[in-house]
Amino acid sequence: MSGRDGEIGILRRLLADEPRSDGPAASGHAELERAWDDLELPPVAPPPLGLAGRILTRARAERRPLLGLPWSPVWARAAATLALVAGLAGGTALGLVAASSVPTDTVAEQTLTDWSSRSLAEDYLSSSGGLGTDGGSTAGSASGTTP
Amino acid sequence: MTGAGAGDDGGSTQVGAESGAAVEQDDWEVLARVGAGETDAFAILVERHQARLLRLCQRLLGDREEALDASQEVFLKVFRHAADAEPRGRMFTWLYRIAVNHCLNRLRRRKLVRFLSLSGESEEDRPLEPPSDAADPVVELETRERWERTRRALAMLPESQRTVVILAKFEGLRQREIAELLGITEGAVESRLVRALRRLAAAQETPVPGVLPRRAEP
Repeated sequence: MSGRDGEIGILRRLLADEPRSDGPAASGHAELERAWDDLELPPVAPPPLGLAGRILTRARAERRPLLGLPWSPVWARAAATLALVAGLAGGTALGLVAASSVPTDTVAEQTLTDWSSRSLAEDYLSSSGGLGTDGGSTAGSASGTTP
Repeated sequence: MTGAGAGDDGGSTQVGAESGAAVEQDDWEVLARVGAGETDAFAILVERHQARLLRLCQRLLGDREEALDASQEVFLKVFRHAADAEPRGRMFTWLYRIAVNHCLNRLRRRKLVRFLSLSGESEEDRPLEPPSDAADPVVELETRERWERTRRALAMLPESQRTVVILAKFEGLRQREIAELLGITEGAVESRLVRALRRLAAAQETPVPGVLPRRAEP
């Protein structure tokens, strides 16, 4: 192995340095060196043919203009921001125009106003068939008929 | 940097022979050309470094297919940063740094996926091993057992120690290079390596079911 001397060299340097900081562990150096020597993994097969070609194809695809427009993240981000701002502004303006064109005197508001100005008792009397027009006495007799 | 320590494939030997200041200088020049828009020049860098990067990825990830994916992604990262890469130091250090970070991120993601799916590594996940060079079947068996022991021992190391052992032992990098690559001090590299070796020494003494114990030294 071409770099074996280098590999062992790095370990030897480490092991040579170690006793200075860890004297009692000096006896374990042989153990560490054996652990280092015992490490072995299967060789790695060389890259498959065509790997470089695949990488280059992907690289070219990244640099190709998108839809004929010069692709640039800055351009894309600026366009997206402009579109967002324009959409927000348009939506707000449309909302304001729509709100100003609606009449305030709507049926719903009228009904609400009428209902709130009448008392509950008047509502009851009018719905129960007009038992009288004079509020107090009629109300009294009406209450007498109820069980 | 002399060639990778584990010169066990043709690509690394070729790269090792090519290595040198001139080639390193040339590497950065080629990358500058790529950054300037000369996409085809990228093929030179890929051809020159693919064997080493693939080997590193496979050592770190322990899976051939994943390593192939990872090495492609690493090269694409390099391609994307070709224009803003600063020619500082050696090209291989820069490439290795990107590759190591990429592989470690993949390992973390894999760990998370395994945790979420509540499944561990199965026997089927184990990579198919190439035949060893040994002609004797007994030696062949012993070699395979050694590979298996090493794999198990490395797997039980913490990620930081395992990375240092792989870079030092199987990639043949020097202490200073590993420190530069991982962004740590040389002292930290030493400390991680010695701690890793202590654990490995202890693990190699422990019998593992299905794996022959290490043969005692005479």
